[in-house]
Amino acid sequence: MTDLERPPVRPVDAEPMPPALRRPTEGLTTRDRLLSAVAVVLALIALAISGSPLIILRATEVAAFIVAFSGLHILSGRLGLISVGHGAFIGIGAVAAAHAIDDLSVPYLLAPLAGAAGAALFGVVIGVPSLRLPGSYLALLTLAVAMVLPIGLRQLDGPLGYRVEGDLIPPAWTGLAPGDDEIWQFALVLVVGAFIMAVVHGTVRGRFTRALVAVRDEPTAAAAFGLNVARIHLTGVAISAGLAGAAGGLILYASPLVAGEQYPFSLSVAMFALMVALGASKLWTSVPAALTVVLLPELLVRAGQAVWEPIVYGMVLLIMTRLSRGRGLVSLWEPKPNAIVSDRAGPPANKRPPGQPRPQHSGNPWLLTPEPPSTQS
Amino acid sequence: MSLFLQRIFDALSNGAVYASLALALTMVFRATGVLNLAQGEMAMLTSYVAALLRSPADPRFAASSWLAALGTPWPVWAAVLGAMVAGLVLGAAVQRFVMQPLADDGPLPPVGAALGLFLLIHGLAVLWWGSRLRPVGSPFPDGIDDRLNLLGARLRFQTIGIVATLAVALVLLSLLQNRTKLGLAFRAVVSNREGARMVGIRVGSVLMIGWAVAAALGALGGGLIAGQLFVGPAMMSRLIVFALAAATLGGLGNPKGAIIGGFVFALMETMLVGYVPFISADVALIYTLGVLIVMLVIRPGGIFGTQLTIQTRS
Repeated sequence: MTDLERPPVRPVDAEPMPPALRRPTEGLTTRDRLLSAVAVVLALIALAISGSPLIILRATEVAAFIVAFSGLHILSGRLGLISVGHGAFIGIGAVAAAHAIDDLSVPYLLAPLAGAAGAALFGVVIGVPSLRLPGSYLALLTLAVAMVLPIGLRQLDGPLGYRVEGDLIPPAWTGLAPGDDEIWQFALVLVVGAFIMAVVHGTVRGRFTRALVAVRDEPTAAAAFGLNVARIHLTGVAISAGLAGAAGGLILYASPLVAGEQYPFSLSVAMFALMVALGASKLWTSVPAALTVVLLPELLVRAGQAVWEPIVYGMVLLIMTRLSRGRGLVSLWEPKPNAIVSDRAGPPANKRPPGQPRPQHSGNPWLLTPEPPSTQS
Repeated sequence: MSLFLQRIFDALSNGAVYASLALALTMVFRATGVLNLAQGEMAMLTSYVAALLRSPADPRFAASSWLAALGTPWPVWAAVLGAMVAGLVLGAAVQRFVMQPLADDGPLPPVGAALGLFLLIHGLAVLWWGSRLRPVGSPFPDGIDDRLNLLGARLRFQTIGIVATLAVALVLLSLLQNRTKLGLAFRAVVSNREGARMVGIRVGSVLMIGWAVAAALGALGGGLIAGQLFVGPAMMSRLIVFALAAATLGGLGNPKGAIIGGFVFALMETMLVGYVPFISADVALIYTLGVLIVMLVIRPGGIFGTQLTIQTRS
């Protein structure tokens, strides 16, 4: 574990990084960051006070989906696995949390925790077979889960879904009127969601995530260094599913209803499409992805064009896999790995510099001259 | 006893269709390592071709005006053949224009592209043809009296026809694979792509033909089942889960396993729905998934899977 304990250190005399490799936040001072954070918080408070219940509900969903997308980021961006079922994992988390609240008398506030536990457990069940199989098997299994989950939820709680009996009422110290439940719920989602994202953000730069990357890139070498590859792999899958489940618990804060129709197959596929389109390698893509997955259907429904949703996502997937080689929109701004190398090294060795005549083959097989161009294709 | 036999008979035609789709998945996976999640939707699209050929002048179809040039409604078997031809074209086009450019990019882009196709085909079908179901009709006699009575159970001619058609298709496919130069080239590409390229096989073309044949097989399955179900955008959503399960059960990449897997899951579905009172047709899907997971934990390579299935870890 020696290599993994040390954070990677850039030598002091290293050349300055090319601009595209720098973090977008690198030049900012602490004051800048503080100010922008305050601005975001003020905007959110303004939203909570002025917004209609529908807007607050959508904002809550966006916050929850950011958490879910961060799970997808860990799975695909770090561990290199594919899940086509993260929408279903949100649903599993929501239903687990709902039943934990009512049947196990878990406090309502702990819904994200209960959801995370339920979904992580399920993730492990799905993850075990994927340990010894090619990566596409996890895609297959999660796809099947995504297709089956709405049926399962309908079977479990009836076609109308399950409504949590407990209530999330603002405590007296907040001074909120009884009718202002959704503001309290929104605040809760923001605080808990921000806490989860802070933990994820810390984890993503930490030791465990470097272990995930090691397991993805060089499983044999990782094992040789003493990492328990299978355990890390499973833990990664469980954390990823658990984050989606926590998102389900967060959604439960805002709407106490869990029904199969909320977590259809199309939701899971849309999440996957957005993750592929934006790029799994960066955590911050969770934010635009969550905004899109919540707002695009809303906009299309309002425009009376809901038919176009799968077509849009399908086209996005086809175009983005082709353009970015599966690394997403963010990769289009990154320098290509070999572009940096070839800048310094000049043209590749096997390429004739322009202007130099093609070397002629002498016809003598014993002379060390270049081979003639092959006649076979 | 007769009820039991009846349920076996009922499972046969479903099994044949699952098997044909699973076989298509398996062929593609074996040749290119891509799990074509859009296989079912491609079969749905070709089933629409069959439905269009059956009733070209139907004003409810988009573009009915120029389809009317196709003339009178085709007979069912011709429409199914037409669907298979459409499948050949569709499969080849998908391989050439969607999958081939992504071949060297790791596992994520092909899965993404396959799902993109899935969404695109599904969305376009809903957009163009709505969610209403279209009849195609069965190529086999399917009246109420068209059946054999065997030990008190009814074996419908349609079931016999579907299973027999699949058997013929399988024989043709195995002849194609084992007795022709094209089949030899295909097997060479599957077993060692670089080696095949070196001895002068055009790997790209062979893979394209493989995808085309797989899609035609899926089209055949879709065309056959369309006689029982109807053609609609969602007709394959259930079948593809069973087909994926069947292909996995047999060990992805093993044609024999895929066929057996198809019949196993069809039997399991029919028996579960028939004998366990609280399991409806929908819920059988959940148990299918459960069986699949348990099976993958016990035997990751599938029942007939070789080490190769496991080793192609990418």
